[in-house]
Amino acid sequence: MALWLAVCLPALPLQLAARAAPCTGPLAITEGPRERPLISFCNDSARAAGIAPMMKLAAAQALARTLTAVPRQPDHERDALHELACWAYQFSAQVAVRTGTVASGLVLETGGSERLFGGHSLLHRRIRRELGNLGYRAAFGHAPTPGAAWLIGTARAGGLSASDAPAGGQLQAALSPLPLAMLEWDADTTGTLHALGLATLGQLLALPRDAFARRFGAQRLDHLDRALGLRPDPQPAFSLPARFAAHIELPADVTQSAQLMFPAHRLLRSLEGFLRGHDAGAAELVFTAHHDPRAVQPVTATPIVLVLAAPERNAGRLAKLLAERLTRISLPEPAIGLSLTVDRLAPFQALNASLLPPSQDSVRDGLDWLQLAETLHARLGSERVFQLQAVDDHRPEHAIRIVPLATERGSPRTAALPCAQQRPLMILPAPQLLPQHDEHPGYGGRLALLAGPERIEAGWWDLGDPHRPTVHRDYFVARNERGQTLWIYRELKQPRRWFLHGFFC
Amino acid sequence: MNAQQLAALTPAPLPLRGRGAIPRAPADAYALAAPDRPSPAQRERGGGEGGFVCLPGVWHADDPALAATAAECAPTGFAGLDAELPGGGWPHGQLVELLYDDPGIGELSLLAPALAAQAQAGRACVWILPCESGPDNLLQQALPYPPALAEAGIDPSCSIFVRPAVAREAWWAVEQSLRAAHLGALIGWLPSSGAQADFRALRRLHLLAQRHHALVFAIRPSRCAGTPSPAVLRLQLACSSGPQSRLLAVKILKRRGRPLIDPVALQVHPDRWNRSAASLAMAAAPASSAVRPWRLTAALAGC
Repeated sequence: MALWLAVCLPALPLQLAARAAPCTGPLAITEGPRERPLISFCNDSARAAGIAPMMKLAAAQALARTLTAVPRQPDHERDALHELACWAYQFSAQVAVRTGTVASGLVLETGGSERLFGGHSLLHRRIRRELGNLGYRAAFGHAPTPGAAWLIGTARAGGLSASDAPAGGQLQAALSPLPLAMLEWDADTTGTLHALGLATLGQLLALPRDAFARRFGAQRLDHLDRALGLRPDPQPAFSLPARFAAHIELPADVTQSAQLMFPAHRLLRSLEGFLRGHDAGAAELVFTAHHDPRAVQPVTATPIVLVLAAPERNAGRLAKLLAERLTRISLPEPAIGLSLTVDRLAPFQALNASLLPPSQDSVRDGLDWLQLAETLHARLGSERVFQLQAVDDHRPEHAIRIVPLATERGSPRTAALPCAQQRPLMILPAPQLLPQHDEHPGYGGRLALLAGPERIEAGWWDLGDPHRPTVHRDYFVARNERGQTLWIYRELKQPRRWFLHGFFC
Repeated sequence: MNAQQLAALTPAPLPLRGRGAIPRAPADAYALAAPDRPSPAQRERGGGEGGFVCLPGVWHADDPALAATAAECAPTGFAGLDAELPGGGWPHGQLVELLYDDPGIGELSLLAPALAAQAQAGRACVWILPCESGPDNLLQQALPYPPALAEAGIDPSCSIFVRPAVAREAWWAVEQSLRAAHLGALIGWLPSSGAQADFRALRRLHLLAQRHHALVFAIRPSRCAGTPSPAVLRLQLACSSGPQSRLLAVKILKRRGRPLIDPVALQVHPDRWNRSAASLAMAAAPASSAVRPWRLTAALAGC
């Protein structure tokens, strides 16, 4: 049986403004013309100061000096609802966005998926908890039709008590006590109904059907029939977009990059839901800190790119990596917004959690290893964290390649030539000129030659490349009086200088 | 006083809880520190003629059972060193400190067999290379050389190399690596910033190391030998100057169990280098024209 869950977000503009930063002071949303803004929503702290909706902003600011006033942005609300629908797709295959005057939100079909999540109460609890992590609080309505679920949800969002109707037979009883205002009909109709002495849906439903339709129009009756399940109520199909983009407006300017962690965490939670809906992971996340376009410096955005070695979707792990990355970022200007985009989704291989605790002898866990690599990489950068590869080249300095971690996966490994001679464990990328006295090289005292010469003359194929010159050298193993065993060479060309090239560590 | 008399005089042995506590030591307990003390094996065979008696319930500091660690140990690949290390090798999940100054005395060759074993078991290795801001001894530029690593059996593809810019980054990277479960081995060149700060930082690493199973090698300058350290095993490496051959002298500064006075001499470099040292005179060097220039071609043809 189809069961619908309505997720109604009361005072959505207020919630959007408050989710970007933990806000305790008075906060209000303003609407109307720029010269005479009116308060449309305000939080509890502002209400306690005496501020109420429909008050002029100037009057409200006189009541609360610390009032943060944010102008209402309907397109942000629409984007936020869309983002939320993407997030909710992980719980249900049928998601629809609803907007209304009392509340805006989503309706989800949960009858098909609640068994997967362990029953409807567990599912509802989980949705409520994860919404809280996203920074939203919502009222739920649960009923066999989307219309009834929405009515129950909006009633609760409006502060009324309403009971759920998990079975079709309880629908009429659950809807009857709800006030007519929940139907969000136009003011004329509602006024007429009130003048007739009708206050609740129950009274409305007791009216004769054809007389009601004649007087108030067939579509009103149709609305009631859909809510009661007497007529089918198809919902617009929501299609999941292929890329993720979300934005958070910051209520106050952020100057320290670490302060971006709080809104970023909200974005990552949203991303996690989106990726779960797609059953995919993200390999490259682009955060963008937006700056005030009216600032002096022409910097409008600071990109913060997080490249992962393997696709990931766990918000906690991503947040850890981002925290390391943010330690290296300094904002040139205060940030006023943060957005996150993921353009390419990658197939995600979730690892099964082990039933038993991992034994000490278990071989390395690929994911764990990658996490370490990513943590180091995120903080120190690709020039400081790397892998080394042997390359098939006779010239010792070209037989080594520094490979950044991010590109390591999938690149073919080149096998080195098996070498008859012993090679040092540590090598200097740039050979060091050794001082010499009567043709004897010195390093920490006079050097005694132990082995050699091994002639290396190679690289003619790179003729003309200044970075990969041809080498003509005689290599020796040498040891000084302190016991250091070194790999040194002498140029074959004049002036036949000696160089230190490695340590037999 | 013979053993029977002493046993008669001694009251019933106290139940011992603390490891290494020696209550009711015999009067000649200082003999423990004497270099000519009998070995445990001698004691078992002949029994205490050097004034040393076995009492039930009394633990002797040079008892091998005391030195046995709870940690599992990985063989070092050098029999001479394995014999002296408690547990017979590098302890897993414990901090091991290596102190030396001059690179190139064979310090990594000492670790290579253990690292190769870890690599073959599929475990990863993290190398925290010397800091860029460290003392100028060319090591801040040096990189491990993959062909040599592969030759030693260490697959470079399962190693991560970190080149920290400053000391703080080095300590941070070591700490992060130790937090990862399933790490095979960690080699960290740790900068020194005062005895007090080092001790605190090392203690932190030591506690982190105990949570997992990795081999943890902290490489520090040998001037730190005199400062306290929480590491269970501290080795000072130097080059022993023998008459004919040069060996790596491993002085065990600290280990579980009785101290070891004499350094262990190990051959880490090929023996032919020692033998050829005298024969290959410096005079041969200018005569490099005697080397056939087609040697490389010949080698290639042989491949």
